[in-house]
Amino acid sequence: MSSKGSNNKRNTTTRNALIAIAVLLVIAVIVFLVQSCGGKPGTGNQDGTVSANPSIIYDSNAVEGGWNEADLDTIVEGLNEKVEEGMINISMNTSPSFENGSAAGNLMIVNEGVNRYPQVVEIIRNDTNEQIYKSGAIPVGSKIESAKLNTVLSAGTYECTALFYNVDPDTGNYLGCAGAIIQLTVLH
Amino acid sequence: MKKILSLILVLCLSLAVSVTAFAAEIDTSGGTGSTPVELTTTNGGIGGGEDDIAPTKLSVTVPTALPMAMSDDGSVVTATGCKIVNNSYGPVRVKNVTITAANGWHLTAYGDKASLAWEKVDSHKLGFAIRVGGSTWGLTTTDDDTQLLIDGPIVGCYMSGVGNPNGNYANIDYAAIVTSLSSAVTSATVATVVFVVEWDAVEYAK
Repeated sequence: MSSKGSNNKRNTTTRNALIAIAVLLVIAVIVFLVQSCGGKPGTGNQDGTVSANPSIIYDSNAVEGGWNEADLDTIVEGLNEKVEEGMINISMNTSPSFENGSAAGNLMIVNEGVNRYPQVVEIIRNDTNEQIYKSGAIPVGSKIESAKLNTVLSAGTYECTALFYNVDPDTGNYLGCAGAIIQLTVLH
Repeated sequence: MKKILSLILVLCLSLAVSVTAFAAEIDTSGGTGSTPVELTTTNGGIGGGEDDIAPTKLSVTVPTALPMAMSDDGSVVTATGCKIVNNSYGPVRVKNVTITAANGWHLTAYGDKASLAWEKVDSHKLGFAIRVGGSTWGLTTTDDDTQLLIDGPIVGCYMSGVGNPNGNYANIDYAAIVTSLSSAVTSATVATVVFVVEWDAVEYAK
Protein backbone atom coordinates (compact mmCIF):
# COMPACT_ATOMS: atom_id res chain seq x y z
CA MET A 1 0.00 0.00 0.00
CA SER A 2 2.72 2.38 0.95
CA SER A 3 4.64 1.39 -2.21
CA LYS A 4 1.60 2.14 -4.38
CA GLY A 5 1.09 5.47 -2.67
CA SER A 6 4.70 6.32 -3.15
CA ASN A 7 4.46 5.53 -6.88
CA ASN A 8 1.36 7.74 -7.29
CA LYS A 9 3.11 10.58 -5.56
CA ARG A 10 6.15 10.19 -7.84
CA ASN A 11 3.94 10.13 -10.93
CA THR A 12 2.15 13.27 -9.85
CA THR A 13 5.43 15.03 -9.22
CA THR A 14 6.76 13.96 -12.61
CA ARG A 15 3.59 15.13 -14.37
CA ASN A 16 3.76 18.49 -12.66
CA ALA A 17 7.37 18.86 -13.61
CA LEU A 18 6.62 18.05 -17.24
CA ILE A 19 3.75 20.57 -17.28
CA ALA A 20 6.02 23.23 -15.78
CA ILE A 21 8.71 22.49 -18.36
CA ALA A 22 6.13 22.66 -21.15
CA VAL A 23 4.84 26.00 -19.88
CA LEU A 24 8.37 27.36 -19.66
CA LEU A 25 9.10 26.16 -23.20
CA VAL A 26 5.94 27.86 -24.48
CA ILE A 27 6.90 31.09 -22.70
CA ALA A 28 10.43 30.86 -24.07
CA VAL A 29 9.12 30.38 -27.61
CA ILE A 30 6.75 33.33 -27.23
CA VAL A 31 9.52 35.56 -25.87
CA PHE A 32 11.83 34.49 -28.68
CA LEU A 33 9.18 35.23 -31.30
CA VAL A 34 8.39 38.61 -29.80
CA GLN A 35 12.03 39.58 -29.60
CA SER A 36 12.90 38.48 -33.10
CA CYS A 37 9.79 39.74 -34.86
CA GLY A 38 9.28 43.31 -33.69
CA GLY A 39 8.38 43.28 -30.07
CA LYS A 40 11.61 45.15 -29.24
CA PRO A 41 12.27 48.74 -30.47
CA GLY A 42 14.22 48.82 -33.67
CA THR A 43 13.55 45.25 -34.71
CA GLY A 44 10.24 45.54 -36.49
CA ASN A 45 8.97 47.43 -39.51
CA GLN A 46 7.87 50.97 -38.85
CA ASP A 47 4.33 50.10 -39.88
CA GLY A 48 4.20 47.42 -37.21
CA THR A 49 4.32 44.43 -39.57
CA VAL A 50 6.82 41.67 -39.12
CA SER A 51 9.88 42.10 -41.30
CA ALA A 52 10.39 39.56 -44.02
CA ASN A 53 14.11 40.02 -43.53
CA PRO A 54 15.03 39.34 -39.94
CA SER A 55 18.58 40.59 -40.54
CA ILE A 56 17.54 44.30 -40.88
CA ILE A 57 18.03 46.35 -37.74
CA TYR A 58 16.09 49.60 -37.49
CA ASP A 59 17.63 52.59 -35.74
CA SER A 60 16.18 53.24 -32.34
CA ASN A 61 16.62 57.03 -32.98
CA ALA A 62 14.21 56.93 -35.90
CA VAL A 63 10.91 58.66 -35.15
CA GLU A 64 7.85 59.09 -37.27
CA GLY A 65 7.58 62.21 -39.43
CA GLY A 66 9.40 64.32 -42.09
CA TRP A 67 11.24 67.66 -42.05
CA ASN A 68 10.04 69.72 -39.13
CA GLU A 69 7.29 72.15 -40.02
CA ALA A 70 8.31 75.53 -38.63
CA ASP A 71 5.70 77.78 -37.09
CA LEU A 72 5.25 80.59 -39.62
CA ASP A 73 3.99 83.06 -37.04
CA THR A 74 7.05 82.50 -34.87
CA ILE A 75 9.35 83.04 -37.85
CA VAL A 76 7.63 86.27 -38.89
CA GLU A 77 7.70 87.50 -35.30
CA GLY A 78 11.46 86.96 -35.19
CA LEU A 79 11.91 88.77 -38.50
CA ASN A 80 9.85 91.72 -37.29
CA GLU A 81 12.07 92.00 -34.22
CA LYS A 82 15.11 92.22 -36.49
CA VAL A 83 13.44 94.96 -38.54
CA GLU A 84 12.76 96.91 -35.35
CA GLU A 85 16.39 96.58 -34.25
CA GLY A 86 17.59 97.92 -37.60
CA MET A 87 15.37 101.00 -37.73
CA ILE A 88 17.32 104.24 -38.03
CA ASN A 89 16.08 107.77 -37.45
CA ILE A 90 17.75 110.26 -39.76
CA SER A 91 17.60 113.93 -38.89
CA MET A 92 19.41 116.92 -40.35
CA ASN A 93 19.09 120.36 -41.90
CA THR A 94 18.13 119.69 -45.52
CA SER A 95 19.27 123.14 -46.68
CA PRO A 96 22.66 123.74 -45.11
CA SER A 97 24.47 126.88 -46.20
CA PHE A 98 28.13 127.75 -46.22
CA GLU A 99 29.47 131.31 -46.28
CA ASN A 100 32.15 130.13 -48.70
CA GLY A 101 33.64 126.88 -49.92
CA SER A 102 36.02 126.50 -47.01
CA ALA A 103 33.76 127.75 -44.22
CA ALA A 104 31.73 125.64 -41.83
CA GLY A 105 28.02 125.26 -42.59
CA ASN A 106 24.96 124.56 -40.47
CA LEU A 107 24.58 120.83 -41.17
CA MET A 108 22.74 120.16 -37.89
CA ILE A 109 23.05 116.38 -38.09
CA VAL A 110 21.33 114.81 -35.08
CA ASN A 111 21.64 111.20 -33.96
CA GLU A 112 18.34 111.17 -32.10
CA GLY A 113 18.09 109.51 -28.71
CA VAL A 114 15.65 106.91 -30.08
CA ASN A 115 18.42 105.34 -32.15
CA ARG A 116 20.36 102.28 -31.04
CA TYR A 117 23.67 102.82 -32.77
CA PRO A 118 26.26 105.54 -33.41
CA GLN A 119 25.93 107.08 -36.87
CA VAL A 120 28.38 108.07 -39.57
CA VAL A 121 27.08 110.52 -42.17
CA GLU A 122 28.42 110.95 -45.69
CA ILE A 123 27.30 113.63 -48.13
CA ILE A 124 27.53 112.77 -51.83
CA ARG A 125 27.08 115.22 -54.70
CA ASN A 126 24.34 113.79 -56.93
CA ASP A 127 25.78 115.29 -60.12
CA THR A 128 29.29 113.87 -59.72
CA ASN A 129 28.89 111.16 -57.05
CA GLU A 130 31.80 112.84 -55.26
CA GLN A 131 31.89 112.44 -51.51
CA ILE A 132 32.17 115.97 -50.12
CA TYR A 133 31.70 115.26 -46.43
CA LYS A 134 32.15 112.39 -44.03
CA SER A 135 31.61 112.65 -40.30
CA GLY A 136 33.20 110.59 -37.60
CA ALA A 137 30.95 108.43 -35.46
CA ILE A 138 28.20 110.46 -33.80
CA PRO A 139 27.05 108.95 -30.49
CA VAL A 140 23.35 108.37 -29.85
CA GLY A 141 21.79 111.55 -28.50
CA SER A 142 24.50 113.79 -29.99
CA LYS A 143 24.70 116.20 -32.93
CA ILE A 144 27.02 117.97 -35.29
CA GLU A 145 25.73 121.53 -35.53
CA SER A 146 28.21 122.79 -38.08
CA ALA A 147 31.17 121.44 -39.98
CA LYS A 148 33.38 122.13 -42.98
CA LEU A 149 33.17 120.10 -46.17
CA ASN A 150 36.03 117.84 -47.25
CA THR A 151 36.36 119.68 -50.53
CA VAL A 152 36.16 123.36 -51.40
CA LEU A 153 33.10 124.04 -53.51
CA SER A 154 32.51 127.14 -55.58
CA ALA A 155 29.45 129.28 -54.97
CA GLY A 156 26.21 127.64 -55.95
CA THR A 157 23.50 125.22 -54.90
CA TYR A 158 24.18 121.49 -55.03
CA GLU A 159 21.69 118.64 -54.77
CA CYS A 160 23.28 115.99 -52.59
CA THR A 161 22.39 112.75 -50.82
CA ALA A 162 23.19 112.48 -47.14
CA LEU A 163 23.77 108.84 -46.25
CA PHE A 164 23.32 107.84 -42.62
CA TYR A 165 25.06 104.62 -41.54
CA ASN A 166 24.31 102.64 -38.39
CA VAL A 167 27.67 101.66 -36.92
CA ASP A 168 28.45 98.70 -34.71
CA PRO A 169 29.95 100.31 -31.59
CA ASP A 170 32.24 97.32 -31.00
CA THR A 171 33.63 96.66 -34.47
CA GLY A 172 32.98 99.91 -36.34
CA ASN A 173 31.30 97.94 -39.12
CA TYR A 174 28.40 99.54 -40.96
CA LEU A 175 25.14 97.78 -40.08
CA GLY A 176 22.75 99.52 -42.45
CA CYS A 177 22.12 102.74 -44.29
CA ALA A 178 19.40 105.22 -45.20
CA GLY A 179 19.58 108.51 -47.06
CA ALA A 180 17.99 111.90 -47.53
CA ILE A 181 18.11 114.41 -50.35
CA ILE A 182 19.50 117.80 -49.30
CA GLN A 183 20.15 121.10 -51.07
CA LEU A 184 23.55 122.44 -50.09
CA THR A 185 24.33 126.09 -50.77
CA VAL A 186 27.71 127.82 -50.90
CA LEU A 187 27.03 131.54 -50.77
CA HIS A 188 30.29 133.11 -51.99
CA MET B 1 19.61 178.31 -20.07
CA LYS B 2 16.79 179.53 -22.30
CA LYS B 3 18.75 178.25 -25.26
CA ILE B 4 18.97 174.78 -23.81
CA LEU B 5 15.27 174.73 -22.91
CA SER B 6 14.28 175.82 -26.40
CA LEU B 7 16.48 173.09 -27.91
CA ILE B 8 14.82 170.44 -25.75
CA LEU B 9 11.40 171.72 -26.76
CA VAL B 10 12.32 171.58 -30.43
CA LEU B 11 13.58 168.04 -30.00
CA CYS B 12 10.38 166.95 -28.23
CA LEU B 13 8.20 168.51 -30.90
CA SER B 14 10.13 166.96 -33.74
CA LEU B 15 9.87 163.49 -32.14
CA ALA B 16 6.18 163.94 -31.40
CA VAL B 17 5.19 164.80 -34.95
CA SER B 18 7.53 162.40 -36.77
CA VAL B 19 6.14 159.14 -38.27
CA THR B 20 7.97 155.88 -37.68
CA ALA B 21 9.39 154.29 -40.79
CA PHE B 22 7.82 150.88 -39.88
CA ALA B 23 4.24 152.09 -40.18
CA ALA B 24 2.31 152.67 -43.35
CA GLU B 25 1.40 156.29 -43.91
CA ILE B 26 -2.29 156.85 -44.50
CA ASP B 27 -2.92 160.49 -45.22
CA THR B 28 -6.31 160.41 -46.87
CA SER B 29 -9.72 159.42 -45.63
CA GLY B 30 -10.42 155.82 -46.69
CA GLY B 31 -6.77 155.27 -47.59
CA THR B 32 -5.06 151.90 -47.18
CA GLY B 33 -1.73 150.74 -45.90
CA SER B 34 0.08 147.42 -45.86
CA THR B 35 1.69 145.77 -42.89
CA PRO B 36 4.17 142.96 -43.60
CA VAL B 37 3.76 139.69 -41.71
CA GLU B 38 7.24 138.32 -41.24
CA LEU B 39 8.36 134.75 -40.57
CA THR B 40 11.73 133.53 -39.43
CA THR B 41 12.50 129.83 -39.12
CA THR B 42 14.81 128.82 -36.34
CA ASN B 43 16.24 125.65 -34.90
CA GLY B 44 16.64 127.22 -31.50
CA GLY B 45 12.95 127.59 -30.81
CA ILE B 46 11.01 130.84 -30.97
CA GLY B 47 13.35 133.69 -30.20
CA GLY B 48 16.39 131.84 -31.53
CA GLY B 49 19.33 134.00 -32.45
CA GLU B 50 20.56 134.97 -35.88
CA ASP B 51 22.77 131.88 -36.03
CA ASP B 52 19.78 129.57 -35.42
CA ILE B 53 18.06 130.28 -38.72
CA ALA B 54 17.16 126.93 -40.29
CA PRO B 55 14.34 125.32 -42.26
CA THR B 56 11.91 122.68 -40.97
CA LYS B 57 13.75 119.72 -39.52
CA LEU B 58 13.69 116.50 -41.54
CA SER B 59 13.30 113.52 -39.22
CA VAL B 60 12.38 110.14 -40.68
CA THR B 61 12.68 106.60 -39.33
CA VAL B 62 13.74 104.13 -41.99
CA PRO B 63 14.50 100.38 -41.87
CA THR B 64 18.08 99.37 -42.54
CA ALA B 65 17.49 95.63 -42.18
CA LEU B 66 15.15 93.54 -44.34
CA PRO B 67 15.52 90.05 -42.86
CA MET B 68 14.32 86.90 -44.61
CA ALA B 69 14.01 83.23 -43.73
CA MET B 70 14.28 80.52 -46.37
CA SER B 71 12.67 77.16 -45.65
CA ASP B 72 14.13 73.82 -46.68
CA ASP B 73 11.95 73.80 -49.79
CA GLY B 74 13.17 77.21 -50.96
CA SER B 75 10.19 79.26 -49.84
CA VAL B 76 11.19 82.68 -48.54
CA VAL B 77 9.38 84.37 -45.67
CA THR B 78 9.80 88.09 -44.99
CA ALA B 79 8.93 90.47 -42.18
CA THR B 80 5.50 92.07 -42.09
CA GLY B 81 6.16 95.02 -39.78
CA CYS B 82 8.44 96.99 -42.04
CA LYS B 83 7.64 100.67 -42.62
CA ILE B 84 8.98 104.19 -43.02
CA VAL B 85 7.74 106.66 -40.40
CA ASN B 86 7.84 110.41 -40.91
CA ASN B 87 8.54 112.32 -37.69
CA SER B 88 8.92 115.65 -39.48
CA TYR B 89 6.34 118.40 -39.49
CA GLY B 90 6.05 118.31 -43.28
CA PRO B 91 5.37 115.42 -45.68
CA VAL B 92 8.17 113.32 -47.14
CA ARG B 93 8.36 110.73 -49.89
CA VAL B 94 10.70 108.03 -51.08
CA LYS B 95 13.10 109.35 -53.72
CA ASN B 96 14.65 106.02 -54.63
CA VAL B 97 15.48 102.54 -53.37
CA THR B 98 18.70 100.80 -54.32
CA ILE B 99 19.85 97.23 -53.77
CA THR B 100 23.47 96.08 -53.83
CA ALA B 101 24.56 92.46 -53.65
CA ALA B 102 26.76 91.57 -50.71
CA ASN B 103 30.21 90.14 -51.21
CA GLY B 104 29.95 86.63 -52.65
CA TRP B 105 26.32 87.06 -53.70
CA HIS B 106 24.77 88.02 -57.03
CA LEU B 107 21.50 89.64 -58.02
CA THR B 108 19.26 88.02 -60.59
CA ALA B 109 15.84 88.69 -62.04
CA TYR B 110 12.99 88.28 -59.57
CA GLY B 111 10.22 85.88 -60.50
CA ASP B 112 8.80 82.52 -59.55
CA LYS B 113 11.23 80.52 -57.45
CA ALA B 114 11.03 77.79 -60.06
CA SER B 115 13.12 80.08 -62.28
CA LEU B 116 16.08 79.28 -60.05
CA ALA B 117 15.51 75.52 -60.09
CA TRP B 118 18.15 75.13 -62.81
CA GLU B 119 20.76 77.08 -60.91
CA LYS B 120 23.51 75.09 -59.25
CA VAL B 121 23.41 74.71 -55.51
CA ASP B 122 25.40 77.46 -53.77
CA SER B 123 25.15 79.79 -56.77
CA HIS B 124 24.37 82.51 -54.21
CA LYS B 125 21.85 84.29 -56.40
CA LEU B 126 19.10 86.53 -55.11
CA GLY B 127 16.04 87.94 -56.86
CA PHE B 128 14.39 90.75 -54.92
CA ALA B 129 11.14 92.70 -55.06
CA ILE B 130 9.91 95.62 -52.97
CA ARG B 131 7.03 98.06 -52.82
CA VAL B 132 6.36 101.08 -50.64
CA GLY B 133 2.92 102.16 -49.56
CA GLY B 134 1.16 99.57 -51.67
CA SER B 135 2.61 100.92 -54.91
CA THR B 136 3.74 98.74 -57.80
CA TRP B 137 6.57 96.34 -57.12
CA GLY B 138 10.14 97.29 -57.91
CA LEU B 139 12.08 94.23 -59.05
CA THR B 140 15.61 93.15 -59.72
CA THR B 141 15.64 92.57 -63.46
CA THR B 142 19.26 91.90 -64.38
CA ASP B 143 22.46 90.39 -63.02
CA ASP B 144 23.98 93.79 -62.18
CA ASP B 145 25.40 93.94 -58.68
CA THR B 146 23.65 97.25 -57.94
CA GLN B 147 20.16 98.01 -59.17
CA LEU B 148 17.56 100.71 -58.66
CA LEU B 149 14.40 99.07 -57.39
CA ILE B 150 12.45 102.33 -57.21
CA ASP B 151 13.71 105.20 -59.33
CA GLY B 152 12.01 108.48 -58.60
CA PRO B 153 9.13 109.47 -56.35
CA ILE B 154 6.08 107.26 -56.51
CA VAL B 155 2.99 109.16 -57.61
CA GLY B 156 0.55 109.42 -54.74
CA CYS B 157 2.89 107.77 -52.27
CA TYR B 158 4.04 110.09 -49.52
CA MET B 159 4.07 110.23 -45.76
CA SER B 160 2.26 113.17 -44.23
CA GLY B 161 3.66 115.19 -41.35
CA VAL B 162 3.80 113.80 -37.85
CA GLY B 163 0.54 115.57 -36.96
CA ASN B 164 -1.36 112.93 -38.93
CA PRO B 165 -0.85 109.56 -37.20
CA ASN B 166 -2.83 107.75 -39.90
CA GLY B 167 -0.79 109.05 -42.80
CA ASN B 168 2.72 109.67 -41.54
CA TYR B 169 4.00 106.20 -42.45
CA ALA B 170 4.24 103.90 -45.45
CA ASN B 171 4.31 100.13 -45.20
CA ILE B 172 7.06 98.25 -46.97
CA ASP B 173 6.45 94.85 -48.52
CA TYR B 174 9.29 92.78 -49.90
CA ALA B 175 9.85 89.33 -51.33
CA ALA B 176 12.77 87.31 -52.61
CA ILE B 177 13.86 84.15 -54.37
CA VAL B 178 17.17 82.56 -53.42
CA THR B 179 19.14 79.73 -54.96
CA SER B 180 19.51 76.56 -52.92
CA LEU B 181 22.17 76.25 -50.24
CA SER B 182 24.08 73.15 -49.26
CA SER B 183 24.93 74.54 -45.84
CA ALA B 184 22.77 76.24 -43.27
CA VAL B 185 23.34 79.97 -42.72
CA THR B 186 22.29 82.34 -39.97
CA SER B 187 21.83 86.09 -40.42
CA ALA B 188 24.03 86.09 -43.49
CA THR B 189 24.05 89.44 -45.30
CA VAL B 190 23.14 88.73 -48.92
CA ALA B 191 22.43 92.30 -50.05
CA THR B 192 21.93 95.82 -48.76
CA VAL B 193 18.94 98.01 -49.56
CA VAL B 194 19.13 101.78 -49.15
CA PHE B 195 16.04 103.99 -48.94
CA VAL B 196 16.51 107.65 -49.83
CA VAL B 197 13.78 110.08 -48.75
CA GLU B 198 13.13 113.71 -49.53
CA TRP B 199 10.64 116.45 -48.80
CA ASP B 200 7.41 116.07 -50.71
CA ALA B 201 7.80 119.64 -51.88
CA VAL B 202 6.02 121.76 -54.44
CA GLU B 203 7.98 121.64 -57.65
CA TYR B 204 8.07 125.06 -59.23
CA ALA B 205 8.88 125.47 -62.89
CA LYS B 206 12.57 126.29 -63.27
